[in-house]
Amino acid sequence: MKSVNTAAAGNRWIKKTLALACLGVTCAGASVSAQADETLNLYNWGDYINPEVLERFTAETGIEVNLDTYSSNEEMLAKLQVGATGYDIVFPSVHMQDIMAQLGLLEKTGINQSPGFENIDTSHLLAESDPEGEYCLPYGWGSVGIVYNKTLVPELNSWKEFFALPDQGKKIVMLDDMREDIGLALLLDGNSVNSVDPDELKSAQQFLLDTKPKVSAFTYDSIPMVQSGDIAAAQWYVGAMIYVKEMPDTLAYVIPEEGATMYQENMCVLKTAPNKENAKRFLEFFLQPEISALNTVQQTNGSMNKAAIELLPDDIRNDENINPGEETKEKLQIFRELGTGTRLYDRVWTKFRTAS
Amino acid sequence: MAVSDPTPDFLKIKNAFRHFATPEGGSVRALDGINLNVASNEFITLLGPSGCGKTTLLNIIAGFERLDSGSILLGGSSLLELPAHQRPVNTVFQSYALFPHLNIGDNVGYGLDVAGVAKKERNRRVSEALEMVGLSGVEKRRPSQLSGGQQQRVALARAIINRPKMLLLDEPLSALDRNLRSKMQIELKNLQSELGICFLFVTHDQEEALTMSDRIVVLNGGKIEQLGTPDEIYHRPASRFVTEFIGESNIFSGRVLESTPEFSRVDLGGAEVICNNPTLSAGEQVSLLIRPEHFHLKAADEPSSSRGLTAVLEQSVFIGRDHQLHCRMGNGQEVSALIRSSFKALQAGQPLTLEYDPAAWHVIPERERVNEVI
Amino acid sequence: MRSFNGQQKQLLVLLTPATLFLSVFFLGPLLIMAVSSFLEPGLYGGVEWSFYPWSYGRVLGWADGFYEEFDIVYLEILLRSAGLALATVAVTLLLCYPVAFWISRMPSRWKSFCIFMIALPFFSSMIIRLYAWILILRDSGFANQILLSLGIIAEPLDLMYSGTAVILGMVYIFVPFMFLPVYSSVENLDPKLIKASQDLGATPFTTFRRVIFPMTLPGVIAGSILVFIPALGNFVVPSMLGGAKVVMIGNLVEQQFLASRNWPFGATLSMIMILFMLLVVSFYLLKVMKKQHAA
Repeated sequence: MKSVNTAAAGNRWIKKTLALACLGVTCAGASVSAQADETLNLYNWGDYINPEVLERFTAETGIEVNLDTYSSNEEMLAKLQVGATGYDIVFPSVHMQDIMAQLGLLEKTGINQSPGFENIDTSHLLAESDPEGEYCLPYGWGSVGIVYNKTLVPELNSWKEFFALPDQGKKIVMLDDMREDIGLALLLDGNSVNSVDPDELKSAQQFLLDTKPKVSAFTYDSIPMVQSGDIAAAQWYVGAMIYVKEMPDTLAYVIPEEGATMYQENMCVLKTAPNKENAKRFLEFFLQPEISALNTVQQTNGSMNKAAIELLPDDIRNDENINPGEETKEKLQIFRELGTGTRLYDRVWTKFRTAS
Repeated sequence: MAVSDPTPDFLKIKNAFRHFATPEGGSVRALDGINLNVASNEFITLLGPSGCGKTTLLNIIAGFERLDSGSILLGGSSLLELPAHQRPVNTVFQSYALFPHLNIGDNVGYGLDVAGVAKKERNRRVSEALEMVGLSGVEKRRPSQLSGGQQQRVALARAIINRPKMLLLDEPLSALDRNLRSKMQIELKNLQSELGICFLFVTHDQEEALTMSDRIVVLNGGKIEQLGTPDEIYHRPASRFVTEFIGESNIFSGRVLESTPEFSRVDLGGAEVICNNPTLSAGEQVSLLIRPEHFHLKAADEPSSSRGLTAVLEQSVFIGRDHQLHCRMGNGQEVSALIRSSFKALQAGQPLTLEYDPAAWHVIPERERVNEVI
Repeated sequence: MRSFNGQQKQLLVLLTPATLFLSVFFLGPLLIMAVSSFLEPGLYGGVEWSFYPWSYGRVLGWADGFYEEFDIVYLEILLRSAGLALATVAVTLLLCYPVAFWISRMPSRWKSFCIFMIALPFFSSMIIRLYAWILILRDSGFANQILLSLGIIAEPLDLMYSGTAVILGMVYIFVPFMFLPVYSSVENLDPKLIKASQDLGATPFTTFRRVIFPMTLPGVIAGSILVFIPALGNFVVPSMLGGAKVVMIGNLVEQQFLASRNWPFGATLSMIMILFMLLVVSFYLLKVMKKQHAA
């Protein structure tokens, strides 16, 4: 239990089960209220930034930082849609950034003109609404692969081997996440993880239905179960690396050879931001390679700041799972906004979850 | 209901012992060797202050509590092995314990319903029982819609409908007002003779006990102080406890001066009384008691006799037909008398002579502690 | 104009804040939800302001064509959730009823202690407590370790992620809701009534059936309603202990507000759930009231 609460990229989904309580119409109004002259209000995923980064920023600029957290893109969007104000910077996933751009929620910052932006790997300017990086600064990224218990499964390299484990009496779990599970099914069929083709989705649904009886559970809380050996392997985020580094003899994380989904969050300034200048300063602050590296070391996720990667300790920089080579990167697919296609996914997901 | 010939020793209680642990870790004797025989048509009352064991005894007969040792036979067979619901006795509870979720008809018919009596028979007996307690036509009402007296009657009807061999009544009248209580006392007594079964009545109210009972068992500290008819209990109390508990009495301590077969002379310390009690011996310490109503005031023109106590009137209270006189004797002892209110007003401070009949004195020798045997 | 006397004025002053509070914070959100359920879903969440009855059609049997199709699956999910809620009610009742009698017969300081112990879990977060259950139920958990070390089983039992685990968790979460009302009605039961019933010849079972149960029924009903309503909407337990292998109405609503971004449909499902609950509860109450009147 302790372990799931420590920071790591993937853990931000854990609190999702609580999200509904806060959602919807009754929750209007941001929790940030008092505005001193020099403040900055961040609205981020839980445990998704190194607190030291914030302390350094305040020490350097005298700007006080307030941090509020969410547990899903949709929760963040919903809160902003019902009128929450007061936040300066949010950390949407790429597809959510596109939605927010559509809804006109984002401020053009011109961060791509700031010194240090040349260090940003342009292949990570993934948002369709912001190909040049005029709005948002790429923040962090990672893959969704497999974390497994080495004492139960000596070696694991593919999804095929993963889904074969239950036949050997070993338990597996998957994420309780609509996009991840349907995306994986599409990916294994050789399709785009953003497909809205009804036939492709039908095939993905069939795969999920066939797989369901083999899967012990659909959950985000897999790490302690894999650690204890109650579960042999789990579909999970690269954030698992933080535990792998703690228990290298027990745990391992792998990006399977068939490929995997990937996620990326960017730092964006809101149009309603009360402290736009401070927000820009924070983005520029984060462009400094040593600050970016400071964050990555604690988060053990991927960085898109080339100069920062150079500063990382060897075990992170050279880790094929955290900073994969081009060949592996080719096999990763990022989620895109589906528009009305979301309804098709909703139906596939409901059908799948209702099946026994 | 048919009245059968009475059986003298219908209920036989032998050497009944029961003790309770107190919260402090001690032990209280609720029943301390009770022996009692009751006839099958008797109205018997267990009388005593709270904690004397009377309710414990009732609960044991009903089957709600067990006995530590001893035996209880009813009609020749032991009661103690039977669970409460199989015992041929029924109870009228203090505060009635009517089922609030059932109407009156279902309350009264409860015993028949659980016995599986056919509907028609059941309804007939319910109205018969209600009629018997003088409460017809209330079958459809709820207990909460009835007055205390009516609820009392329902409880009675409910308890007699199973035709028990014995009815246990646990202070059933204590919640009623004075007038209703006197009325119910008479009705209860009538009901008992009509049914011809044994009523075991528990009360702490001596007046109630005297009014209704064939015999009274005075209990104190788990022991029987006295067993007798109301007349015996009132006029010939066997102990100081009974004397003090039953009615009002003047109680004196004295020493026998002289005793002849006809009378005794007893010194009360400065005053002397003559009483008819042949079994005393000179020099013996005794308790003497006389009821206030057994004094009378000598009229001015009557000759004075030696059978009187001289005292000074301290207070005179008018209580209807009588005056209650609070007086003090020469030796400082208080004495009270109940006098017909036909005399002209008495003045406080006035000296009086309280005359008595030597037969009115009741003498309890102090060497004897009266209990158990009986 | 009619004027108020002093007492009425006082009443008005006393009641106004509560009424305002209830209407703003209770009826207000309910109204917003009711309205939302008849609006068109926005592409990126939120609502479009046009009348759109098809969300209901999707659940109840009419629909407009391409995106909104009637699917029986939603009613199935509702019934399945109701089934789980009922099972929870049944098990908590079976558990709490005898325990309530046991505790009510204790000396009073033990009584207070036991009630405190039963209410104690309320003081910590439900999520934390469910994590504790994971530690107990998983293959290497305490339950299996104890059973293994006692030699009762040779292989760890599959307790985690099972229907048993879900029922266990639900019962654990909702026991206090059942216990407190049941206990209070048991505590108020006059022991003399039980004596009276026995005295009149009723066996212990008959006494239970004819006196004890009817007398404690109000507590049983209150407890059942208090457990049934939140149990119907609960999805955390099936997710955490059941491994989210079956979807509950609560999950479905969450999914609509988050992943699927269909707020009106989420509102529709919630409204239908509320109506269903109202129906069940009022049916229950009506039946009981009728019974009380008839008796």
